Amino acid sequence: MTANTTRVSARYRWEVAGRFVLAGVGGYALTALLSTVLALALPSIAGVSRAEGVLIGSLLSFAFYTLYALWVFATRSARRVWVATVLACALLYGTQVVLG
Amino acid sequence: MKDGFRQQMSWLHTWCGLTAGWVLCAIFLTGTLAVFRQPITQWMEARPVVQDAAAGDRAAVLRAATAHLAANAGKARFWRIELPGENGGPVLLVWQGGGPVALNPVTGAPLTGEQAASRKTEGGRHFMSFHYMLQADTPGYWLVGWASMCMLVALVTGVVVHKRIFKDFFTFRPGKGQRSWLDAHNATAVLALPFLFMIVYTGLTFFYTSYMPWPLQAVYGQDGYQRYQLELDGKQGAARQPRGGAPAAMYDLALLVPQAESLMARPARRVLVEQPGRAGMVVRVFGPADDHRAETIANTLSSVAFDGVTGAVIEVKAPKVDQPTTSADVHEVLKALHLVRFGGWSMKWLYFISGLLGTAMMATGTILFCVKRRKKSEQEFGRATAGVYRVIEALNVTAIAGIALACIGYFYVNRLLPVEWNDRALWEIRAFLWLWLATLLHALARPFMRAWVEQLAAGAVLCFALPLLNALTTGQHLFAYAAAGDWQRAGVELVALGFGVMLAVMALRVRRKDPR
Repeated sequence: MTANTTRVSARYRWEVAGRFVLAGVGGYALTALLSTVLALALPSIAGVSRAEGVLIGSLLSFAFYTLYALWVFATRSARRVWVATVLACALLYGTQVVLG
Repeated sequence: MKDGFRQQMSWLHTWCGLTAGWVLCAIFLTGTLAVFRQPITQWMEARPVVQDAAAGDRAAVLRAATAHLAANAGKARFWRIELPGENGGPVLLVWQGGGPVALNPVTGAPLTGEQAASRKTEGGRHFMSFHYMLQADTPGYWLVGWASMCMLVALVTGVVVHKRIFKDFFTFRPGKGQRSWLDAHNATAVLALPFLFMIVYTGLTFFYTSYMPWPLQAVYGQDGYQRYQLELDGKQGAARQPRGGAPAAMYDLALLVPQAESLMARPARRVLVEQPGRAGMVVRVFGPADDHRAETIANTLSSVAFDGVTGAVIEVKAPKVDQPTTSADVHEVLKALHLVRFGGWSMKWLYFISGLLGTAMMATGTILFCVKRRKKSEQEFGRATAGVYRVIEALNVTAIAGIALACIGYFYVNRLLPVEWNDRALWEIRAFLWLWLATLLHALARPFMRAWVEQLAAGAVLCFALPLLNALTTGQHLFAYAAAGDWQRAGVELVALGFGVMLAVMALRVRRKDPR
């Protein structure tokens, strides 16, 4: 959108709405999966206890969520954000199933 | 969204900040007031000022309390004795299904009538519950979580957008319209930035097992919270005293309380007797909930548990000063950081001021959005733009002046509701929410500049008249509190007067801008 266009296209509106849903719902799903995988993997890769893995994964989740929301709105192509999110979620879910 | 990274971050900052800013203003102002929730509760309960406890014979009072409880609550499963805090006040007795009964802290004789009176109230707790769940149960709780995430996003994008963060700190050009609003927004944000990041992050992690329960569930299963906590503490659950048992006489409280005080190195504030009059009796003596002399930030409540029959020490809990910190302390420290459970009154004041700066940062941000567009519409909403701007202006008034008005109104409702009502606490909260809704309707109905002036002025008048209202309804007032050395309750009225000055100045300044 440029400052001198007086009307905004419907497509642009849908794109913003889509990014908003993605940042909210997709971001929560991705963050939940990422922090769960971290919690499961940390005991074997970093030598922390099971409980500490959960603590670290959970406490970092809010930072992941923030960074993801920034990325959703910073990336030019909305399609790229959607594809990357779905792929990342699938990959993380697979890892969680394998580790859990 | 505009092209370029900084432009996109600026767009996100504007819209994320605006939409979450309204509810965040309310969350921040009530959270700031909740720093002083105990003094507010004391003011609202409006107990008469009783003689200083230090002058009395505490051993005699404790024995009188035990005798009163044994005579009136012999069958109860627990007894609780609340000892006077630093502000004096009566000794309170509570038991399963009974109480509170107020005792004179000097003689131990039960207080009656006027002297024992305390108003039923939600007190300062209301500001705390509203702060984290908007008095709207689970949906409110998640809405606060969403607003907090938006605040994190707005903080990070705000830092990205402002390249001259250090210079901005020293820049304030008053009286220059839009430029001044931006300067004020930047200055308050930069000044409070570390606090703002800390408070929003600790706020989210405070409830991490509710907001983000999935890692815990994946590792420990659906009901794994208990096992998780035990593993984190690295120990098994504490051994429980056997329940009930044969009738037995209680060890002398007048001996246990001083012993607990020397073990905790803190004054006793509460005595809890579990299974009174039975062989399995446990006496727990707790230190102050608000520990002013904390040596550590991991400032857990101190307590000593005694075998109620033999007087033997079962367990001593005190803030860990000499022991190494473990991962079990992480969440405790995050909570302590959010709740200001350290550093005493000076730290509370710092949090209070920082909270006000944060509220001002959000308020100036949402106002800046409108000031910018009053000059030149950006036409973001096509033909509906003017109407949307009108609603945004009204929401700004409600979120800033309206919430302040609802907060001070809450104090008025406490004094004006009939004392004998049982549902007083419920109606106090309802009145607060209705008042806030009324400010929204008022802001929508009036020209917005008039709405600003009227709501700010109404808030100022209510703040200034608070000591007067108190004097008329309870006979207590600022000078009576001050004369009795009750600086907590005097402080509530002094802070209200301070808010009155702030709101009045704001009302006058807006009025000057609006020639009508």
